[in-house]
Amino acid sequence: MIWPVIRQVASAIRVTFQGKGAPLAYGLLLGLGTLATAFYLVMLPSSSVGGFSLVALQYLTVPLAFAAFVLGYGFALAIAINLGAFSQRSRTAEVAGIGGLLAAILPGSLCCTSLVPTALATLGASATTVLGTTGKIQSIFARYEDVFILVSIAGVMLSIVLAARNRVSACAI
Amino acid sequence: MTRIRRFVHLALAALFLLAPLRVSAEPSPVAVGDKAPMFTYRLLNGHDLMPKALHGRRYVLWMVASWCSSCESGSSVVGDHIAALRARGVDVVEMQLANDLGAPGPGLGTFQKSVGTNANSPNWYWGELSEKQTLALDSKGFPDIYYLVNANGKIAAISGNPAVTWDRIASFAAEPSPVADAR
Repeated sequence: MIWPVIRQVASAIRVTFQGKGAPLAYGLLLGLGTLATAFYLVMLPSSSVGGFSLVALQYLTVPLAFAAFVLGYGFALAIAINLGAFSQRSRTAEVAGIGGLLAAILPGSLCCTSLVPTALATLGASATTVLGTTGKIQSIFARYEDVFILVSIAGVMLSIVLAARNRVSACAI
Repeated sequence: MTRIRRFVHLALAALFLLAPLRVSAEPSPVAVGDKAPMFTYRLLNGHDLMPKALHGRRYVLWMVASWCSSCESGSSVVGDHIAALRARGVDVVEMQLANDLGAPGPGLGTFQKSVGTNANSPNWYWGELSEKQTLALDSKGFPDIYYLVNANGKIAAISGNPAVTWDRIASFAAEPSPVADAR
C-alpha cells in the first residue's frame, strides 16, 4: 500500500529535479524551504514564551526541530513538485500544505497570548464571560499542541503525495 | 410596517439605555500609575497573604493559568533569579487565576515542582485568586500577565511572559528601593 506511494513520490522528485525546471525546483527547495524551516524553528517552541520571539529558541527540543525541518522543507518540496506540473497544478495539494502550515502556527500564537481574550472582548463578550470562556479555548492549544503539530506534518505529507500523484500523471499525459 | 419600525425604535432605545449600565458593571482595567488593589490572597500552603505583608515592599504580582505553557517556563525563569530578587528586596506573588479562566488545569503545584527547591524561597508566594480578585486584577482575561508594584504600592509597569520579558523585571529590581530589607 505504502510502497506505490513512495515510488510515486520518488519518481515525481526525480522528474522535478532533473531537466528544464530543475534550477527553479532547487531554488524553491533551498530558498523557501530554509525560510520556512527557520520560521518554524522559532514558531514551534513559541508557546513556551507566549508568542513569536527568538527567545523561544531556548525551548527548542529535538522533536520540535525535526518537525520544523519536515514542515519547512516538506512544504517547499510539495510546492516545487506541484509547480512543475504547470497548468495541471493540484489545488488540493496546495490547500493541504498551507492548511498544515497554518495548523502548526495555532498553538504558539493562540495558547498563551492575549489574542483570544481580546477577540472575545471585541465580539462584545462581557468581562465575566471572557474570564469563563477564554481558558476553554486557549487551553485546547496548550493541551493538544503535539496533536496540532502532528496534524500539520500529516497535512504537509499529504500535500507532497498529492502533488507527486498529480505530477506523475501530468507527465504521463 | 409602522409597528415593526416602532419596535425597532423601542429596541434601539432600550439598548441605548442599557448600554451604560453594562459598561458601568465592567471593572476598569488596572493601569500603570494606579494603586495596586490590596487584597488578602489565599496561598497554596493554606495561609493568607495579608495586605500589610506587602505594604512598603516592591513586588511582582503575577497572574497565571496553570494550563499555560509560557507561565510554566516563566516560573522556571523566575526560579533561576529568585535569590537575586530576594537580595534586592523584591517579592513575587504568583497567583492562579480563578478557575483557570474556565478550564481547570493541573494547578500551580506542578509549576512549583518543576521549579524545584527555589519555589520555597521566602519571597515567593504561591496562591489562588478568587473570582472577584480575578475580575479586578485581570478583567481582560490574559493568561500570563504581571504588574510590577513599587514600594509605595503603585503599579510601575504591566507586562507578561517573564521568560521573554525578564530584563524588565531585572531593571525594576535593580532600581534603588526605599525599603530594601531582605526577607
